[in-house]
Amino acid sequence: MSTKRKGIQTTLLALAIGVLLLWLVVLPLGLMFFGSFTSSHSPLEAGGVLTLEKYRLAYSDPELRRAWWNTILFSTGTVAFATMFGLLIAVFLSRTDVPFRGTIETLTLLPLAIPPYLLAIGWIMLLNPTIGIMNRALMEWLGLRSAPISIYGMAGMIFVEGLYHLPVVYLIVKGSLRSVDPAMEEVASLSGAGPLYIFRRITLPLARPVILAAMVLVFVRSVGSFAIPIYIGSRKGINVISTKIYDVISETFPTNYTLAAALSASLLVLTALLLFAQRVFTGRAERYQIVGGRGYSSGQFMKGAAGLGNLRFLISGGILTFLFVTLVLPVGMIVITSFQSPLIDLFDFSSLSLKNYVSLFNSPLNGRAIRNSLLLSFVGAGLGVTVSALTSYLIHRTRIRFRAGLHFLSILPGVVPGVTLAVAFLWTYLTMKWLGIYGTLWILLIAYVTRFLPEATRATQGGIQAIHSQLEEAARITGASLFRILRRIIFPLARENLFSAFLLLFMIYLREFAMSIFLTAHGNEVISMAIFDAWRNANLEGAMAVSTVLVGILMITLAVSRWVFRIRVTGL
Amino acid sequence: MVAVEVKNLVKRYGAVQAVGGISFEIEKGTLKTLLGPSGCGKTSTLRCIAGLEDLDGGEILLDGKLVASQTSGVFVHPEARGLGMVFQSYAVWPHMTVAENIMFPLDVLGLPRMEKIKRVREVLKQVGLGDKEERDATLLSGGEQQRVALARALVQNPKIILFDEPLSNLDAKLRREMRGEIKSLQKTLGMTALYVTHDQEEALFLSDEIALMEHGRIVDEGSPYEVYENSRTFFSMNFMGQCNVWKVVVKEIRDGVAIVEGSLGAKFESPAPRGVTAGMTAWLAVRPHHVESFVAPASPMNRLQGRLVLTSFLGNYFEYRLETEVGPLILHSQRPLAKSEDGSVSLFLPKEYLRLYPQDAP
Repeated sequence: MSTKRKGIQTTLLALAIGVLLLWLVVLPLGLMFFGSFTSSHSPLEAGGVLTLEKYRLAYSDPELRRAWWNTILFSTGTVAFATMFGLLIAVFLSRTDVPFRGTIETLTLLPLAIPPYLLAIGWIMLLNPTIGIMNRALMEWLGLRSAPISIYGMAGMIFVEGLYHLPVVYLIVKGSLRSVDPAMEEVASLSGAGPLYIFRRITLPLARPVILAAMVLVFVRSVGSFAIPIYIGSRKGINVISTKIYDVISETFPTNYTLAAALSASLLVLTALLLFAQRVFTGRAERYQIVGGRGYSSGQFMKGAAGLGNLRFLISGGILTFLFVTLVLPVGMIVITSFQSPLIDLFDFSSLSLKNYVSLFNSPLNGRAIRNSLLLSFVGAGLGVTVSALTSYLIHRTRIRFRAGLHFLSILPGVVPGVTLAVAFLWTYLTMKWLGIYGTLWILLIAYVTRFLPEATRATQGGIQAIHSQLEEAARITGASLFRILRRIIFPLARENLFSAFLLLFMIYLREFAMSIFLTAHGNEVISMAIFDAWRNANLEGAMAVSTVLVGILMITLAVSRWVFRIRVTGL
Repeated sequence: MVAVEVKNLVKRYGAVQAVGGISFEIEKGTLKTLLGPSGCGKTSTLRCIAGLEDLDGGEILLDGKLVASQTSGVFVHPEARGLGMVFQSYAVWPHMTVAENIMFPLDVLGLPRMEKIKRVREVLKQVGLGDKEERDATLLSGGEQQRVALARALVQNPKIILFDEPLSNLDAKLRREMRGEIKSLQKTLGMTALYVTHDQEEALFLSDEIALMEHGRIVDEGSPYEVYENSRTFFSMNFMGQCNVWKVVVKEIRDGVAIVEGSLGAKFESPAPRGVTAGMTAWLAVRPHHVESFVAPASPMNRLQGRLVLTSFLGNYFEYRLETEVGPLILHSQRPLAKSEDGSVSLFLPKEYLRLYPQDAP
C-alpha cells in the first residue's frame, strides 16, 4: 500500500544496513571465535571437534607466555609515558601562562596526522645502533666507540608508542581541565590557597576520573598495537601478542590459523573487558574521544591560570624542544633521508638527489602499491561514508525499533584490535573461499570499511544530527519517498560534513597497516606494505622514499581540504 | 462539509499526556485556530493530524477518510495525507533556490517541467515573491522565507493546510502584515486550514473558529467573538484579553441573573452561568473597555467609586488604573476620564458585560 510507503522503505533500509553490518562485523568475529575452539588447523579443513587445546597452548607455550608478559609491560609503560607527558603539557597549557601555546598544541597533535610506523621508522633513523644519526653524533661528540643508545627493545617500543598516544591523553585531560568550573578554584584561592596547592587539592581530583579513562584508553590501544612493536621490537626478538599472531600466520607451516584465532580472540576479550570496566567506572571516555582531534583554539589566556613569571619561557622552551626532538625530527629524518643515502652525513647537502625516487618508480611493486592504496582509499571512503551516513540517519532520524542495535554494531569495531579483525577476515574469507574475496583487493576494502566504521559514524552523525527535523518533515509532508528525502534534502544539507568524513576516511585508509599486512597478497600490495617490505629487505632509501610519498599525499589531502574546500578534517 | 474531524485524540510522550482526548471539527473552507499557552498540546495535536506523530488514542478523519486510529490500527503516513504545512522554523531548504524549494512538492508528483514552472510562478505571485524566483533561499529575510514556506505548502493544492506558529519568529510589524496576507489568501483560495498559535490577537484576527486549549484539553470553542466576549471559562476569559477580576460572593440567583457582593458591600447584577449557585464564592470579571465612567451619584447596583492612580496613553485609547472599593480596576476609553470635583470617578459596569465564574482555582 502506498500509504505505508515511507514506513516500509525505512524498515527495508534499516534491514539492509543491519544485514550489512552483521555481515561486516559480527559474522567474521563469530566465525573466528567459533573456529578458535575447534581442533582443526585452519578454516579450510572441514570438521574437527570442539576443544580448548589452542587456548591451552596460547597461555602455556613459553614463547607466547613471554609475549603476553611483554604485551602487559609494553602497554603499562606506554600508559605511564603518555600520561606523564600528556598530562604535563595539558596542565601547562590550560592552567599557566606559558607562551607559544598554539605552537605547542599543534606539535602535540602532530602524531594524529602521521601513521605510527612512520614515527617508528623516523626514530629508527635517529637511534639505530649503526646508522642512527643521533647515535653517530653522540659517538663523535663524546668520543665513544659504540652506539650509546639503541631504539630496538622494550624501552624504545614504549617510548615511540607513548609519543604516538600523546595527543589522546592531552586532548582528554585538556577537556576535563576545561570543564572544571573556575569558580571552584577561585573559592579555594579566596580561602588563601596557592596555585600549586589548588591544583593538587581541587583541580586534579576533579579531573581524576577522566584521566583514568584516558589511561585505560591508551592501555587498550597499546594492547592491540602492531606497527610500532613490529618495527622496533621484532628486530631484537621482542614480541607482543599482536606481532606473535603475525608470526603464527606468516611463519608456521602449515599455517596454524586456529592458534592465531585463539590469540586474537583473547586480545579482543581483554580489550573489551577493559573498556567495559572503564565504562562502568566513568562512562566518559567515549565522549572525550569524540572531542578528540577537534583542536580548539588555545590562544586565549584562561581563567584560573597561574602566572609563572620568567620561568614560563624556560618551561615553554623545554616543552617545545621536547616536542621538536621527539616528533618533528624523526619525520624530518625520513624526508631528508629519502633524498640521500642514510649512511652519508646528514648535513652533507651536496649528496641530495632524486635517485631514490627514480628507483621507487622503477620498482613495479611500489607503483602498484601506491596505485592500489589510492584506489582502495578513494572507493573505500565513498563506501564508508555512504554506509555510515545511512546508519547515522537511521540511528538519529528514525524511530525504528532496532536502531540501538545498529548503533552498537557501528561502534563495535572500535573495541577490536586491528590484528584481531584481520585474523577474523582471513578466517572468514578462507572459509568462504568460493566467494573469491580472499587474496584480492576486495578483502582489504571490506576490512578498511569495517574497522573504521566507528570513526566514520562519528564523523557523519554530527552533520545528520545538525539538520533541523522540520527541514525533513517539510519534505515528508509533500509526499516525498525516503530515497528522495535522502537524495534531495538530507545528503545535500550534510554534504560538507560528509565530504569532510570522506577525506578523513581517505587518509585513515591510506595509512592502514595492521590489517593490510595480514590481508595483502602478491599483486595487491598497499603503501604501508611497500614501506614494510623495503624496510625489511634493508632497502632503507626505498622505504624512506615511499614514506615521503605517503606523508606528501597525506599533507596534500589535508592542505587541499583546508584551503581549497575550506573543510577542517577532524577526528584523525 | 467537514474537512477535518478529530475524535477523542490522545497523545502521550512517555508518562506525560500532551493531549487528553480532545474532539473538534473543521468546516471545509474555514480556518480554525488551536490557541493556547506553550505546553497545552496544540502543536502535538497538529503533528498528529499531519501524521508526523502517531496518536495514542482516538481517531482522525480527513475528508471523511480515516487516516489515524488507535483502535483499528490505521496510520496513514504524512506523505500520503495530501496536506500542506508551514513550519515555525520555516524549514526552507537552505541548499536550494526559492524556485527549487517550491518546486520540490511538484517533483514528487512527477509533473512535466513546463507545468511545474507555470505552477511555481503562479504561487510565487500569490505570496508576493514574483521577483525572487532564482534567489538563494539563505539570502531571504525572515518574512520572505515565511512566504516561501507558504508557497511551498500551497503549490500542490492541498486539501488542508497546517500552520505551526508560522509567524512567531517575525517582528511585530511583519507579523501583522503577514497575517493579513494569510487571511486574504485563505479567503480567496477557499483554503481549509488549521492554525496553531499562542498569540490570542493573531487567533482573533485570522480565525473562523477558535479552540482554546489548556493542559491538553479544549476549554473553550467558538467564533472569535464568542470566545472573547462570552468566554466559557475563567481561564479563557483571562487568556483572550485583559480583564478586571474580583472575588465575590453569590447572594441569590433569579431568572438567570445573579446578585453578587464584593468587598465593602458593593453589589452587582450579572448573567448567571450554569454551575454558579447562591452562597458560593465566584470570580466576577469584566473587560476594561466595557467599564463606563460618568460623574453621577452612586446608586447601589453595578456601580463603583474609583480614585485615579495611573493614566497611560496607548494611541487609540487611554488606559486608566483606578483604585476602587473592591480593588484595583483597569478602564480603557477613547475619551478622557470624567472626574468629579473631589477627584473621584464614578464607574458603571453594565450587567450584560459582566461574567461570573465559579471559583475552582485560587
